[in-house]
Amino acid sequence: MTRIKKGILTLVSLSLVLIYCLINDPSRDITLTLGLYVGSSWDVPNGESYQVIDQAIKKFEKKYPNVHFEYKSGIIKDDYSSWLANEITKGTTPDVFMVLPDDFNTLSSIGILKNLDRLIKEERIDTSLFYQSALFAGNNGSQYALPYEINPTIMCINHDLLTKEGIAIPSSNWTIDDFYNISNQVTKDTNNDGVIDQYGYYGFDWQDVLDCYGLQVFKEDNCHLDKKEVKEAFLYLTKLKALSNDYQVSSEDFDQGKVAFCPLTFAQYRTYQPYPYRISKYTSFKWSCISMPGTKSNTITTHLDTSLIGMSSQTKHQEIAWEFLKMLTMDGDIQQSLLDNSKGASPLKKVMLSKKTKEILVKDTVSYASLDSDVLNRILENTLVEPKFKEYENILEKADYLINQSIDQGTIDNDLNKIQKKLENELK
Amino acid sequence: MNHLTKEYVTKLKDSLLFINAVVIIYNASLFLLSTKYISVHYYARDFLNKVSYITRTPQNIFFESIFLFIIIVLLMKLREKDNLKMANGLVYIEIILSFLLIIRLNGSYNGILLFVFADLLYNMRNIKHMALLLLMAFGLLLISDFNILSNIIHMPSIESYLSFYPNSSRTFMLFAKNILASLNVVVFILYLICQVLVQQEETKKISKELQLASKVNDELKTYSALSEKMAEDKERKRISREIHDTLGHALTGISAGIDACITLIDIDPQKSKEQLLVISNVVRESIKDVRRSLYKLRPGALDQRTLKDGLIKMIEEFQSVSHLNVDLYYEWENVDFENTKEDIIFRIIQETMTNALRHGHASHIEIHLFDEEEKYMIIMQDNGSGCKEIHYGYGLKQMHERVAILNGTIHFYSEEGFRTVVEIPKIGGKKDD
Repeated sequence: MTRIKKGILTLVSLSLVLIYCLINDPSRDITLTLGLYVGSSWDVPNGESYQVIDQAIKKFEKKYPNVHFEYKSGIIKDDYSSWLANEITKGTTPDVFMVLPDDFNTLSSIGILKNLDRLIKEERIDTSLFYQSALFAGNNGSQYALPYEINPTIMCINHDLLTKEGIAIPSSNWTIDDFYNISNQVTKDTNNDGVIDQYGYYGFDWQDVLDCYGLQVFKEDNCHLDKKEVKEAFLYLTKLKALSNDYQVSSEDFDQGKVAFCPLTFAQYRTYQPYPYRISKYTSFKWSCISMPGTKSNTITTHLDTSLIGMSSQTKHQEIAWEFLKMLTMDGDIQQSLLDNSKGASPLKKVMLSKKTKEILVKDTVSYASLDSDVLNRILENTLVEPKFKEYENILEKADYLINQSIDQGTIDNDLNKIQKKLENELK
Repeated sequence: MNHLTKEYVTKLKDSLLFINAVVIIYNASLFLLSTKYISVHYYARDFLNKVSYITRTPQNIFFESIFLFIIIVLLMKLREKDNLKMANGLVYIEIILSFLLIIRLNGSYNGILLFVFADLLYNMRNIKHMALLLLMAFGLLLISDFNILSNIIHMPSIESYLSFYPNSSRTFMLFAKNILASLNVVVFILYLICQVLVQQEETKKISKELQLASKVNDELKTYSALSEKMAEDKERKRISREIHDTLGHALTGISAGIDACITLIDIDPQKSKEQLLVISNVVRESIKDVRRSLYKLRPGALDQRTLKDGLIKMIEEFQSVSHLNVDLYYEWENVDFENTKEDIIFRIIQETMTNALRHGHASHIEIHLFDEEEKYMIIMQDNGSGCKEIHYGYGLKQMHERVAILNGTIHFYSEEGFRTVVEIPKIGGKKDD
C-alpha cells in the first residue's frame, strides 16, 4: 500500500470517528418537532388543548435539559390531516406527531411512521400495560404508533323511562334480543293522540349493529356483505327501525326524555353529563351507561376510537423521539393528567383502575348511576379491533353512504349484493 | 467506413454523458417541483393516499441524485488514467453507485446503467472478469425497472407525483421524460454499433501490420544468415593469412635451415650447431607467433580479461539484448586456467545460454561454477520449456567435443527446464595441457 493510500485511509477513518463523536455528543442541543392539533380528538369541547403536552415537555426537559421542543399551535383537527400530509410531502415530517385514526392506515403503509417493533422488543416493553385493542389500533402488521387516548362507545339508558314502564335496567351482558324487546315495549303512543311519541332508541346505525354481531365485513381485498350473518344483522336493524313506523327519531326526542337507548362515546358521556348537558338543567330524567348489547355467540361489542402518537421514520433523533413518545403514552402521571384534562379514557390499564380515575368518574357524575370504573374497565377489555388497510377509511365512507341510502329506502336486503360488488370494485 | 474512427465513439460517449446529466436533473426536478405543486394546491392528503411509499424528502432526492451522478462521472474520469491498479474495483463501485442513483430517483430512470456500461466498453484496460461485470450490469438493468424494483424496495412512483397536474401538463412532462430516456437508449445503441465497427477496423489494421512485420522478419533472417556467412569467410581468410604469415613463413625458414644443417653437419659440425641454434630461435619465435595468432582468435569478451570478467561482460551484453535473466554464481576465484581452457569453458557457457533462449524460451538461467575435490563443476539450469527427448544437434555435439579436449564430461537433463552439468577433472585436465 502506498503512503498516499495509507494517508487517505487514516484521514477517512479519523473524520468518521469525528462525525460519530459529533452525532453522539450527549450535550448537543436537540430540537424535537411535534405535530399536534388543537382541541379534542373526540369532537367535544375541550379548552385545555396543549396543557398535557406542555406538562410532558416540561417533565421531559427536566430529564434531558439539552432537548427542546417546537410545535405549530392552532391547527384544528379538521385541518390537521391536510397539514400533516403537506409537511410529509415537503419532507418536513415532525419527529413525533399525533395520528388521526383516519390517517393511520395510510401513514403506516407508506413508510412515514417508524416501525416500533424493534424498539419495543429491545427495551422489553410490557405491552400488556395497554388495553389490547387500543394497542392494536396502532398496529398494521407491526406496531407503528402507540395509543394516546381512547374513546369507547357505550350505551346510554334513560333510567326514568324504563322505571316508568316497569322494565328492569339491563345488565352489562345483555343481548340484542333484550335491546329489541325493551325497544318494542317502550315504543308507544303515551298521550293517545294516535302518534307514537315514545321511542326505543336513537342513533343506533348499521355499523353499531355489525359491531353487536361481531362482524367485520371489510378486508384488504374484498368485503363480505353477502354473508348470512350480515343479512341477519341488517334484517334485525330493519325490524328495529320498523318499530317507530319509520319515524326518524331525533336528538331532541332523546333530550326530552322520550327515548330509551342512545349509543354515546365515553368522551361525549363525560362532556355532556348528561347528554347534552343542558338536559341536566332543564329535564330531570336520570340515566346510566352499560356496554353495547351482544349476541349469544358474541360478547365483544364495544367500538373503540383511539388517538395515536407515532414518530417519523426519518427522524434524526430517534432515541429522544422514542423517549418522548414513551413519556406521552406510557408515563402514568402524564396519562393520569390527560384523563383529568381531556375527555377521553387512557389506554393504560393502571390509569383506568387508579384511585384518581375513580374519583374523577364519581365527580363527573351528577346524576343517578354513574359509570363505574370497574364496569368501564370490563368494557375496555372487550373492545373490537378495526381492520387495518390503506383504503379502509375510504371504503367505509362509501359503504356508509350506500348502506344508509339503501336502509332509508328499505331495500337493504336486495341491495347488499349490488353494494358488495361496487365496494369490491373500489378495493381492486 | 474508413472515416469511422475512435473519435466518433468518443463523441457518442460524451453525448451519452450529456443526455444522462439532462435526464437526471430533469427527473430529480420533477420530484422537487411536483412536491411544491402538490403542497401549494393542497393535494398533499390525496397524494399520500395515491403514493405507495414515501420516505425521502424531495430536496434529498434532488441533491443526492445529482451528487451521485457527479461521483460516477468523476470515477469514470479517474479510471481513464493509465496503469491505475484500482480500476477494476472502481468499476464495481460505479455500478453500485449507479444502482443507488436509480433507487434515489425512485426508479424513474435506469438508463444510467447503459451509460456506465458504455464507459466500461470504452475503457476496458485493467478490467478483469468482464463477463461477470456485464452479467452484473445487465442483471441490475433488468431489475431496475420501476415495476420490478418497487416490489423489492419500497418507493413512490413518479406517476403518483405527476398525477396532480392538469392532464395536458402531465402528458407533456411524461412525454419529455420518456423521450429523453429513449434518446439515451438510441445513442447507446449507436455507440455500440460504432464501437463494434471501430474494433473491426482495428483488428483488420493490426492483421495487416502483422503480415508486414512477418515479411520484414523473414528478410532480416536472410540477411543475418548472409552476414554470418560473410563473417565466417572473413574469419577463415584471417586464419589462413595468419597461418601463412607466421607458421608458413617460419616452417619454410626452419625446413631451409635444417636442410642446410644436414649438409653442414659432416663438414663443419661447429657451424651446423650454430645453425641449429638459429633454427631453435626461429622455432621459439614461431611458437610465440603462433601463440600471438591464437590470442587474436580468442573470444572477444576474454580479450585482456579474466574468465570471470569476460563472463560478466558477456552476460550483461546478453541480458541487454534479450529478456533472459541470468544469475551467475562464480566460485572459481582461486583457480587459474590456461587460456585455451578458459576459451572452451567460455564457449560452453555461451552456447548453453544461447540454447536456453533459442530452444527453451527460458526467461531465467542460473549458472553455477564451483570446484569439488577432484573436479571443477559447471551447472547451468534454465526455466525454459526443455525438451522431451534430447536431440544432439551441431551445438551439443560441439560442446561434447570441446569438453572432451579438457578430458571432462558433459551431461544434459531436461526436467523442469534444461540443465547442463559439466565436470572437468583437476589432474587429468592439467596433465593434458
